[in-house]
Order: sequence, then C-alpha cells, then structure tokens
Amino acid sequence: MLARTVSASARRALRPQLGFRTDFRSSVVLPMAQKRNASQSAPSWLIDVFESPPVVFAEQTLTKIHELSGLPWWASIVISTIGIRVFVTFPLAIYSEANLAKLASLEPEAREINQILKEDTVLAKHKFNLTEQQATKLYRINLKKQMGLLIERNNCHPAKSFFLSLFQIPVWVSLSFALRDMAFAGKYGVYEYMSMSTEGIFWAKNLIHPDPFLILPVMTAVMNLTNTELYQLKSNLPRSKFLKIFHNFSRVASVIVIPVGLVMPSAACLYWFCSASTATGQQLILLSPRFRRLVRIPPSPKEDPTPYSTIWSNFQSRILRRGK
Amino acid sequence: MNVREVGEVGRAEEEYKKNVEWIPCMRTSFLTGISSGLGAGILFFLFTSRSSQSVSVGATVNLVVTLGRYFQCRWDRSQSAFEARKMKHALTTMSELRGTEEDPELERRGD
Repeated sequence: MLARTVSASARRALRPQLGFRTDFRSSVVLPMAQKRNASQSAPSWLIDVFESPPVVFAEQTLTKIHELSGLPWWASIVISTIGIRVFVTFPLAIYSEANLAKLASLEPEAREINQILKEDTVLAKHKFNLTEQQATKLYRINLKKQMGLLIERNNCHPAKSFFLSLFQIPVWVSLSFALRDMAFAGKYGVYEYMSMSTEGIFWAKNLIHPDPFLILPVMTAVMNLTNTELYQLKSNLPRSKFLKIFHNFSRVASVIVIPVGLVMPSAACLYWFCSASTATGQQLILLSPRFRRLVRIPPSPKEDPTPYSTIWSNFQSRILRRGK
Repeated sequence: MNVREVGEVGRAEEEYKKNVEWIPCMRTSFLTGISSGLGAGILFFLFTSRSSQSVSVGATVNLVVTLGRYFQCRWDRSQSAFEARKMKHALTTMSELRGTEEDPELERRGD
C-alpha cells in the first residue's frame, strides 16, 4: 500500500519534466532521491563500490538490455541473468567439470606410478643403507614430484576448477550492487528508476521497493537450499568433516537471504532468484552422462551412470529417512 | 619563519616519507601492478597448470607493470607540469605587456 502511494506521488512529481533527463536530480526532490542522498553520506567504501568499474559496467549493460529489448524491467533482469548463465558461467562450469573428469581418469596411471616408486624406494633403501624415516621422506618427495608432472602433462590441476568457480562471485556481487544502485536512482538520472517502479512482476509491481509479500526472498532461499542439498545428495561417497561444516554453513547462508530481502529492492531479489534457479538447472544438467558426452567432458570412473536415481534414493534415505 | 612553522614542515616531511599515498603516482602504480600480476598469474595457471611457474610469472608481471605504470605516470605528470609552466609564463607575460608598446596583441591585430 505504502509502496504504491510513494511511486504514484513520485510519478506525479516527475510528469511535467519527463523530457529533461539530465537536470533531474537538481530540480526535483523525491522521497527516494532524499533516500539516495542519505545513502551518499554512507561509508565511503560503499560509494567506492558503487562507482567501481565492474558495477558501472553491469549497470550500463542492464540499461542497454532494457532499452534495446523494450521489455519490462523484470523480463530484462531475467533475460540478462539467463544470458550470463548461458554465455559465461555455464561454459566455465563445463570446462571445470571436464578438468575434474580428466583428473579422475588419471587415477590408474597414478596408481601405477605409485607402485613403481614404492619398489624403487625399497631398492634404494637397501642400496644406500637408508633408515625407514629417510626412505619414507624420499618416497613422499618423489611421489609429489611425479604427481605434479602427471597433472602438468595433462593440464588438469584441481585448483583450476576452484579458480573458475570463484569467478561467479564478482559477477554476482557487481550485478547485485548495480541493481541496488539503480533502484536508488543512481548515476543515470531517474529514468531507469522510474521505469523500475512500474515494470515489476505480478505481486511486486514496484521493483525499487522490497517485496511486500516476501515471496521473492523466500523463493530465493528455497532455491539456494535446493542447490546446497543437491550438491550433497549427488554423491554417494562418505563426506569429510570439512564438507559437513561447509554444508551446514551454506545452509545458513541460503536462509540469510530472507532477512536481507526485507531491505533489498525486489529487483536485486529477482536477480538472486533467477541466478539460484539457473544454478540448479546447471547443476542438474551437468550430471547427465549424455549431456556430458555432448559437450565433450571425458568419461571418468567417478561419473555416476544414473545420477538422477542416485539423487532420488539419497533424498529418500537422507532427508525423508525412509528405507535402509 | 618561526619555530612552529619549521616543526610543521618537518612533520609533513616525515609523513611524506611514511605515507605511500603522498607520493604522486605511487598508489595507482601499486594497484595496477598488484591486480595485473594476480590476473596474469591466475591466467597462466589456468592455461598450463604449473603452480610454481605461474607464481613467478605473476611476480614478474607485477614488478614490470608497477614500474612501467609509475614511470609512465610520472612522465605524463612532468609533461603536464611543463605545459602548465609554459602557460603560466605566457599568461604573466601577457598581463605584463598588455597596454604597452610591446604588446603582441597589437602586432597581431595589425594596429
């Protein structure tokens, strides 16, 4: 109710001056523009983030997509999210999966090398009169060296996948900050901000305000939880203590979206929801052996031939606690 | 110049020595060097999987870019300072000569 009255009064105040986009902020005092001024007295690092090149680039791209496509804001946010997923994140994820598959397929060779090294160590121990300690140390050094060479030869260091997965974080952060900045009548005058206030989805028409029914944050939290649980359910291997801690940590992190969604503009929440649900789709499709062959991920011994039934049975036994 | 002023100048000099931000061009060159070194190291690692070599590539790129950016920035600064000095000289000369017989404006106008 409040949201609707504010945006209506803002629109009324702006109507006579729609033609002059450059002069907006000095001539018209809006409720939200006052809010923006308040945020300008916010900590300087926040201003720095808003004016940093990635955030500015994200804002310009979003604005361009909105202007060129002529779609309402909610649709352009959805389309840009899907576009980023399809053209940036998904190829990187495929490459990273291929990297891990290559690494896993090296296991027989690694076992062979290990066997040879063990035999060599026994020989060296007798030949050079080494103590048990010295021999073990020698064996470890050589094993590390040989494994390093093997990985270098096949160009499949596991840290590559880690670095590639880290790449999503700056993308996510800069898009979230860009949307938040635009929802507070940011750098490009009030035009985007105005159109954002009317081009929302059914229950949240005004994208610059937080979702009044909390539907978007809750759906985002649900999708985040789905991602976390899927990650855990897709493997049958026993989990280490670190993985368990990590899993619980990400469960908490997925639910934190709900209180944050109370204050974030629903534009950013919509982006989070789209990003989380495309991530689920990506995770599911990357499990399928047929798709993996299609994008030329090499077959590996760790690959599950029936991933979806594994997930289903794990879901029943671990979450519903049926069977077994 | 009294004692207090001398003291303040001395303190400013000390601050100057301590604070990297006070040296012109130092901040940008450090930032550019660090980010490009990191980027180059990670890229090299992604293409080759060689961990120790990529560290040295990153360090080298960091050093080269930091120095290069610093010298380039100082060169630009000195160029613009030179331009500014020439402009100042021209402006002072103009004000001194305005209205006298040696005023270049007179010649230009052909009076």
